Amino acid sequence: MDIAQLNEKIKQESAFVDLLFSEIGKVIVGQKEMVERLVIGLLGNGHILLEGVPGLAKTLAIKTLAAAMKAKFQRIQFTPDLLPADLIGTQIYNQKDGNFFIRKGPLFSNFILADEINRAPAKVQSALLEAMQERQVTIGEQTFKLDEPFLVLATQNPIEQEGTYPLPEAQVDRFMLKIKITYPDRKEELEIMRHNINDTMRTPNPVISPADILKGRQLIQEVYIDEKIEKYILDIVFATRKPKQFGLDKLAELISYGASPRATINLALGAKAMAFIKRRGYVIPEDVRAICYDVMRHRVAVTYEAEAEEITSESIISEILNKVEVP
Amino acid sequence: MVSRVIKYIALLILLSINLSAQSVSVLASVDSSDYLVGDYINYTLEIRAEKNIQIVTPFIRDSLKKVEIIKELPPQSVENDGIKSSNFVYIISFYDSASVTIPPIAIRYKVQGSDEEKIALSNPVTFSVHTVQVEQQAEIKDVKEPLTIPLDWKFILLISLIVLLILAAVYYFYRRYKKKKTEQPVKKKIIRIPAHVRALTALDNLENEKLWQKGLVKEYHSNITGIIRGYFEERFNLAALELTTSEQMQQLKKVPSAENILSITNEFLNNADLVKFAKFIPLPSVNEAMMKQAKEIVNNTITSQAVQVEEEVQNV
Repeated sequence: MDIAQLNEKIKQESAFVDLLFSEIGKVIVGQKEMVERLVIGLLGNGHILLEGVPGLAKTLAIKTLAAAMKAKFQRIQFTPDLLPADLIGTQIYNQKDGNFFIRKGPLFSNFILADEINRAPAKVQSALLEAMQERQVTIGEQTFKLDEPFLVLATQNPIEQEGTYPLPEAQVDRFMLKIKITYPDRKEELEIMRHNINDTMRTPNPVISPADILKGRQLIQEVYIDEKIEKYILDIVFATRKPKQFGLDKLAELISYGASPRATINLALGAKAMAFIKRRGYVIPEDVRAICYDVMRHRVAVTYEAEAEEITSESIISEILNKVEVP
Repeated sequence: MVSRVIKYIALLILLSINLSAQSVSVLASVDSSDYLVGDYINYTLEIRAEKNIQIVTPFIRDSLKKVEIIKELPPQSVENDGIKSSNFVYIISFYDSASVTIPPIAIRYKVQGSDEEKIALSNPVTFSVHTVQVEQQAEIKDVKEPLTIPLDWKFILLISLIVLLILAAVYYFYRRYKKKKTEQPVKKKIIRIPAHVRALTALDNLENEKLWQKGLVKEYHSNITGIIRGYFEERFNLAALELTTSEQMQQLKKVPSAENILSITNEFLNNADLVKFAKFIPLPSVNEAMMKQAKEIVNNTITSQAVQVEEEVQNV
């Protein structure tokens, strides 16, 4: 297909994204970036790890997204006594007919908010992450496909680390994006306050259907990514692994291990999804840079020396982006 | 009666033969019977034997147990009238107050011509070791002053020599540094070509390469934007090669002297992006317009500076 035609097609077919953003924007004040990333995760068929202090509209955002899409939503509060069966479901014995029947768990929804995932023990975390990866759940001897679209939004509270089970690096790598959300600015906070005290909070209307998202996913496959952009993505990822080759000698001491091939895949996928929501049929370097922090921050591990100097993975990514030449 | 006398005489002869065959005597002694804890004690083993008797050097370490052997002195032997007298002296010490008994030490020996090993035992030696007696009634005395080590002139001489050598080395290097500093620096002329001249030359070269006419449209657009981004780096001190189009535009907006090129630069970079990243094949007129726009961007931002010739001082 000609690029002009593709561009036009994407422009037309991605119109639902603006509709979705507009509907969510009626409920959520600010947090535009978070909402945008949620949609990218949804279109990229990935899952999202969210980090931020409590009260930043994480639950409201995903709830609104589900409502705007007429999709099923479940919120699971992770606690130390949670069991895998509490998530995936279990077999229950029926005394009347002497048979077992299956009661499906809350994972059988389109949107899952796994609140404070690091509060549950490893076996529960791995049950969730397995379901995220396989997109299916086995209860007893039966395997059930999970609903599509299926998006897990897991939150981690950066404070109160006592008695938590932090996700191991291999598990964290399974999340397509890790979003860090910050406080709203004064203007936004004023608006939030007025909405709440005047009880003018709006309920979102369903403006799209899950089928639109599935269609959007297919369209994303068609978004054109040039060889130059692919090379740019590879340069960024390889700079985290072999910084000296990119003239970033000082980073060699600060990175304990670089981004995995999943980072490369998700960076390309995220950039395509970003181009799609910007209603473009091709990827430009801006798309890669815009999504880079969210794809890489949980995949670049810093050394103890870096931690001691309060150097974060974000600052390392910034250094890399400032050094790697844009095509 | 006679037979009884003969028996006695025979017995005496036999005994004398036996004694002479095994005449090894070992006498152990110490130089005193009373020592202070930690005193050095000379423990001597004097072995007297006929010269045809081979004495094995005594090994006393296992027999001494708690007694510490400080030093073993080399054995000394004296021969007199066919009797060899060997003295083994050990300096020992004991670190507790007690009555100490060194048990008999076994001395091994062999008679010449015989393989049989025999043993002679020394006498046990007893001595007492006591601690310092505290005089309860005596007047309390102050702690003794530390001992002053007498001056070692050789050591002082060595230190003085080292200090003199260091001073001489410092003086030598200082002279060398001063000499180098006073040397006339070599002046090297460095010609700095202004950014706009370099950019315009590069654009002319690109035009002459006729890349887009050869079908290398993407390369043409990559190179032309590369030249302009490089020019921005030098002219406006922007890290333009590491910035995306929108980031470059944001940075340029902050530069007052770039105000007149904002619109044209935006169009130029965005058109190039379409070719570079979106497989867009522009019309020949667009390719020509790109070159015109590039030159316009440069020409509109030329400063009054001429070709600069700067002198840089370099020490060879």
